[in-house]
Amino acid sequence: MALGTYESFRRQYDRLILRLFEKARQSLNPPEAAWAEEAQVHGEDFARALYRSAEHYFSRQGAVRIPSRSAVESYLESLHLQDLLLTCACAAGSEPAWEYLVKHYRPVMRVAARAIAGSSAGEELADNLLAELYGIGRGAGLNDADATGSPRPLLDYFHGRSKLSTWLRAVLAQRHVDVLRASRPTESMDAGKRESAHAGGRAVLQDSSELESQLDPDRPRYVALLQSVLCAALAALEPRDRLRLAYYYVHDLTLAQIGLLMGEHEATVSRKLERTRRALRKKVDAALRDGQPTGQGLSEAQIRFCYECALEQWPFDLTRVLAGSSATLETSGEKP
Amino acid sequence: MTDRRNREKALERLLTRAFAEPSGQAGSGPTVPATSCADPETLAAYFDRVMQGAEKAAWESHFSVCPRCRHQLVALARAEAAVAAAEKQRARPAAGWWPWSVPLRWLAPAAAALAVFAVWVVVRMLAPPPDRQWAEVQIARQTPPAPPTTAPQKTEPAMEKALRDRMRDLEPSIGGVKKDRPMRTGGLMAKPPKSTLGEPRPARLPAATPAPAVALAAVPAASEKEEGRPKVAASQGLGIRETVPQQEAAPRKMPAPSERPATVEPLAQAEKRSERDARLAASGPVRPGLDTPRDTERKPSALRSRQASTGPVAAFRAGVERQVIASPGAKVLWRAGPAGHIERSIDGGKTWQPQDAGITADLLAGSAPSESVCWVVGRAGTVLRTVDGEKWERLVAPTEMDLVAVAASDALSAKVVSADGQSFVTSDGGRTWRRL
Repeated sequence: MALGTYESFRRQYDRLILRLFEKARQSLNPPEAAWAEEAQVHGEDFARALYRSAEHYFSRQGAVRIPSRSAVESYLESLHLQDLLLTCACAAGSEPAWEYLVKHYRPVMRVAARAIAGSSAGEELADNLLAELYGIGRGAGLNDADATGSPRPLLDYFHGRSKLSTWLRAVLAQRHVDVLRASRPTESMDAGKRESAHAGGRAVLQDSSELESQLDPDRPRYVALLQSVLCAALAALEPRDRLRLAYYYVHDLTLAQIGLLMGEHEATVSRKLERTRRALRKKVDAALRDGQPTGQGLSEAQIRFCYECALEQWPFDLTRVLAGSSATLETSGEKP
Repeated sequence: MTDRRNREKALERLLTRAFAEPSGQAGSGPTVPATSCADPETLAAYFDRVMQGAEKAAWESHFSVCPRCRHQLVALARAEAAVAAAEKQRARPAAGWWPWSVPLRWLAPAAAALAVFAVWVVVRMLAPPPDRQWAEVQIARQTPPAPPTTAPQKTEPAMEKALRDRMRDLEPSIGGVKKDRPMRTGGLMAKPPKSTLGEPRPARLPAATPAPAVALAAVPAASEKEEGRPKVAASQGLGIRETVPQQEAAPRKMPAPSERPATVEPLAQAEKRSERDARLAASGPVRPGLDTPRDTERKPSALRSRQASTGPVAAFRAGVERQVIASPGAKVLWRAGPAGHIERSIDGGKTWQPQDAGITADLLAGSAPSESVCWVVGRAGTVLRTVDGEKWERLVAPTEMDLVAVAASDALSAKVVSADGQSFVTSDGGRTWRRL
C-alpha cells in the first residue's frame, strides 16, 4: 500500500481530513446544502473516501516509498470535494442525496449516453448505470470484491480527481466500448477476404487476390515494404502526434473534437496534423531511398510505384499499423 | 512539384483508409493488455485536464497505441459536445417568444424611445391649441362685460371691428400703404419693445388705448408726404416703419373678414403672441411646456375627484369585491369585502345586517364551517373569526402577506393560503400557526 494502512493515514492527516470535510460542506450551494444537512454524512465515510483516492493515485504512480506529506496534502486539496461528499452520502444510502444525484445528473447522463450509443440504447445504458450505482443489479467492468467478498459499490470507484459528471460519462463510454468489442464477430478465414497477421509487431496486409498477383507479382512486395517503412515512421513520432493522427484518420474526429481531447485550439490541431503528415512523408521517402529495412535503396520510380500500389485497390489499415507500432513500443518498455 | 503533391495525396489517402470490417473497428483485440488500460477515473482525470507533466505524457503514449482507450476518449468527446449543445439549447429562450431576429440588447433603447413618444403624444393631446387660447384671451380683453367664448367665429368679428377702427384712425396720417404689405397699426397690433426674459414688460397695451394714435398723430404732416423717406413712429418704440409712396393713395378701407387677405391672419397671431408674452413677463418667468399661465390653474378639484372614482385606485378597489360566505345549508351567509366591510344575513341573503369587525383592511376570502362560526382572511395577514356569528375577533397573523384563501373545519382548525402560495394551518383557534 502506497500510503500505509488507513489507521496510520487517519492519524497522520486527521486535521487535514476534518478541514477538508468542513470545506466541502460549507462550499455547497443552498440547494445542495439541503441534502448535506439531511444526509448525515459522517466524517468517517469521507475520510475513507479520501484514503481510497490517495491510495489509488499514489499506487498508480508506482511509488516505492510512502509519498511525502506535502504531496499527499497537495493531492487531497486538488480533489472535487463536493462531488466526493455526494458520492459518500449516496454510498451511505442517503435518500436526499440520491434524489439530488438523480435529479441533477440523470438528464445529463442521458444526453451523453445518447451521443455515445445512440438514442434508445443510450437511454438504457444511462438508466442501467444509475440503477447499478444505486445498488440494483450488477454491472460489468468495475465492482471488485471488498475484503468481505461482497462486491464493492460502484461509487467507491469515484475518487474525486475529476468531476463526478465526467466520471459518469467515462463509465458510460467504457461500458459502451466494451459491449461493442465483445459483440464483434471473429474474423473470417474464407478465401477472398483480407487477412491480417502480426509479425514482430508489424502488421502485414496481404492481398489474397490471385489475379492481382498474376498481373503484377512485385505489387505485394512493394506494399509490404511501404507498410513496414510507414510503421517505423509512425513509431518514431511523438505520442501526441501519433494520437492526433489516430483521432483524425482512424476515429474520424473533427478538429474541434481533437482539440477538446488534447487541449488545443482547432487551428493548432490543423497545423500540427499538417506538420506531422509532412514529416511522415519525408521519413517514408528517406527510408525507402536509403533502403530501410531491406538494405536496398529504391529509385524514385520505384518509390513512385510504391505509392501507386498503395493507392490502388489495396486499402491500408492504419489501426493495425498503429496497433503494430504499439507492440513495438510495449516491447521497448514505454508503459504508463 | 506535381510528384510531391501526388505523394502527399497518396500518403493522406493511406492514412484515411481503413478496413471496413469488424477487425478494423475498435481494435481487433488489444495489443495492449486490458489491465494496463486507463480506468474511468484516469480517463476522466485526463479529459478534465487534471493530469500534468510525466503522468499525462505517459498516458498519452498509451492512448496513442491503445484503440480501446482511444475509443473511450472519443466517446467522451462526443458526449461532451452533445451535453454542451443541450445546455446551450436549454439556456436559449423558448422559440416563438421573441418572434423577431432583433437582438435583445436593442430592447431597452427601443422601449425608452417608445415611452418618450407615447408621453409626447399624450401631452400634445391634452394641451389645447394655442390659437383658441389666445382667441379666448382677446375676446376677454376686447369685450370685458361679455362672457368669454371659445367659438372662433365670434372672436373674429370683434377683432376685425377693432382692427378696422384702428385702421380708420391711422389712414389719414399715414396716407396709404402698399397693397402687398399687411397694415401695421398700433394698439393691439403693435409690436411691444424687446425685453430680456424675466423682466417685467411695460403694461403698454391696454385693450383700447388711444396712445398709439396719439403717438402717430404727433408726427409732423410734412414728413408724411416726403418721398421714399421711411417714417418711423416716434414714441414708445412702436417700431412702425412705413414707406410713404410718392402719390397719395386714397384711404383704404379694411376689407371685410371674408375679403381679408391671408397675410393679415399671421399678423393677428403674432400680436396675440405678443400679448401673451407681455402677460407672461408680467406674471414671472415663463415655465417651459406651458402655453398659458392658466394651464397651471386648469386642474380643477373635479378632476381629482374624478380620478378618485374612476382612476386606477378606484379600479383596484372595485376589483376587491365582496365575498359571499355561505354556511352549511346556506341560510346564514356572511358578506366580506373592501375596507373591513362585513355583513350577515340570516334569511338566505334577503336582508343583510352590517357587522363591525374593527378593521379597515380589505377582506378577500372566508369560510363558514357552521352557522355561528366563520373565518375571514384579507390583506396584510388579516385573520378574523366569529364563534357566535356576531362578534368578530382578530387572530394572530401567520404572515404579513395578503391571505387569499381559507378553509376551516371548525372554530379551532383552519388552513389559510397567502398570496405567495404559502399555506399555514392552525388547530388551536389561531393562537399558533404552522407552515406547510
